[in-house]
Amino acid sequence: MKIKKSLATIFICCVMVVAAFGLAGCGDVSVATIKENFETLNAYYAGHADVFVAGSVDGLETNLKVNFGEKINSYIQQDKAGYGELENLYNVALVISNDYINKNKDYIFRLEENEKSLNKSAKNALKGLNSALTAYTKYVKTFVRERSTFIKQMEDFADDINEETNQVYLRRFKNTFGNLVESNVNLSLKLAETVDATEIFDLLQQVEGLQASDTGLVKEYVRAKMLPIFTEFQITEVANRMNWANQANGTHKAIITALMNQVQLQYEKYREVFVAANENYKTFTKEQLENVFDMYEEFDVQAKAASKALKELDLHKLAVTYDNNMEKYLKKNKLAEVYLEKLQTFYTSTLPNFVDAFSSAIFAE
Amino acid sequence: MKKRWFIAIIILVVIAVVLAIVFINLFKTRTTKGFAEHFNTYVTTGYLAQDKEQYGTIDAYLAALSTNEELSENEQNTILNERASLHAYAITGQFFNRHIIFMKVTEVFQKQKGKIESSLKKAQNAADDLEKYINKNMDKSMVGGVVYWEAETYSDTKGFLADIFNFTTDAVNRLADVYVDCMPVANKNKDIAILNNDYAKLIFKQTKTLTENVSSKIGENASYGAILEKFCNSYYSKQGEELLASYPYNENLQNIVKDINTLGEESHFFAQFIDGNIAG
Repeated sequence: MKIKKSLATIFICCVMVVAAFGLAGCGDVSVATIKENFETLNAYYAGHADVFVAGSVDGLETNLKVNFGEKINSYIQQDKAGYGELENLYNVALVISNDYINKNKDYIFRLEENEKSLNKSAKNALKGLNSALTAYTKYVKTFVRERSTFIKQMEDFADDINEETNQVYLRRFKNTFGNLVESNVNLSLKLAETVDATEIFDLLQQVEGLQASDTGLVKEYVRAKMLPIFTEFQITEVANRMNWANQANGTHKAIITALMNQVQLQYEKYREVFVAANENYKTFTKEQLENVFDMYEEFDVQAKAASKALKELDLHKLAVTYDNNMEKYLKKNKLAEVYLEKLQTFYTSTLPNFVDAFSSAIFAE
Repeated sequence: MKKRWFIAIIILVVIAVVLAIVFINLFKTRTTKGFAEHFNTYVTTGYLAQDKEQYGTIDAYLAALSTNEELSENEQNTILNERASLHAYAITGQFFNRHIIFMKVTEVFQKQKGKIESSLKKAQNAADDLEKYINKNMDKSMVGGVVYWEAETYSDTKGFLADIFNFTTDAVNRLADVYVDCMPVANKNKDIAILNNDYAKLIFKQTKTLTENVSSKIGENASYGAILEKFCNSYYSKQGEELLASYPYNENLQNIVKDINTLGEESHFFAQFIDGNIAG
């Protein structure tokens, strides 16, 4: 009898646990919740105004530039090895991503008026957005702690430690900063996907009398969707995982360095076209808007293929485990050359062609 | 009693594990990776790898044979066509190699991949046999030298050469169908095809026509192989692929493709298209 009671209790507990897990995944996220969570994030930023300061990064004005304190700022200005990237790689990406978030989150808040009529796709997108937002807000706290640790290390010990140790501290911090950028870019991506999921772009392709601001909305959307093309390569795959300059001079180091230079070149072009304050947009007919979206959607498929190629190529493994020796690496990763070629084609041809065509399509003379 | 419970639990665990494996495999995302890796081997280290010894050996043998006057005109034409086709298929193979890993797994892919692999394997086996024969029987210093002896070897090797040509032609034609069906589509509602647009379809369609010309007239006329080689070199090379990628933005090319699709051989652009110079 006792045994039967124990078994029954265990069974009921298991059922309740399973039910709890099941229910946890259910339920929509309201716009009000997302609004609240953005306010929480903004309050955190405000409460750490020494970390996130006003300033200009690469010509973009922002209130969310990461400040590094006197010692590290001096290293950046002196162009000390590796420190420049804190500004010209990480801060730039963060600012571009945050700029999109700040300019477009109000669009999401306005959905509250017609929240009940949102379709399933939009509701799922809101869930994804909220998930990215809470993950980012959580990580910002980790970042702020790590930043303080790093600044203190430099201020207290920088004059006493050797260069190698200095670089170890720097790389550890860059990893944290890189994760912050990745999380923020994911947030801006989810925001862009939520905008798309509301079918605003489908609607615009059906109405007459489009305005220049509608073109601007499209440009902003494409800008947000394109940012990971650069951050995934430069930060997630390279800067976060290794110090490329110090890697072995194997057969393919020069080839990959050339590719990285091309990525940087295209990043600068992207910033010129999509991030610079040019709002001299064309006013589309609905057919022209449709063509622009068709053009973007084709490009997006190519971008996804390039992203897959980047992950599968695994530059870190090639550089660190195989000393940039492609011949040896091919025994492990048979398609490595195919992936590399895809990336080369994407960054030298596909991407620049798209940027040229898209900017001609959306900007007035 | 205890033993029975124990056995029952073991059986339940085994069933659970088997079911788990079945469900995992059912819902696992399928990719073209396995097929892509096999195909990659033929193009990078196998008989279609232009920078490898096997390809060089077969190509040099064909080059020597093609000028051998001990052979009949029909035999020389066949050899010239086979040589030109080998060159064409090497370039075409590289093209497909760049794309297969990025394709989706569709019904067409599932249906064709086994047959493509089988054809390529048979072509590779024929190439291996041919290479073995050449290395065993040919004194390399005699290549282009002892004409009579070279002609004697042709009766032994023509079967291998025919297999290489026929099986590779089969594989290439099937790959064209897979490519058209499996390259990603941007917008399901509008069917915006990526890299398998009207221009690509035109190229594949014409490739099949040209390979058919070579097959059906292989001994009659050596120009068919030369036409196929020039065509494939133009459109399947990296430069050719850049033109393919530019199609969505290239109104001039779109108009030419439309014209050829509408008028066929009557199109003003058809001759330059066949000549490998569609954009003029």
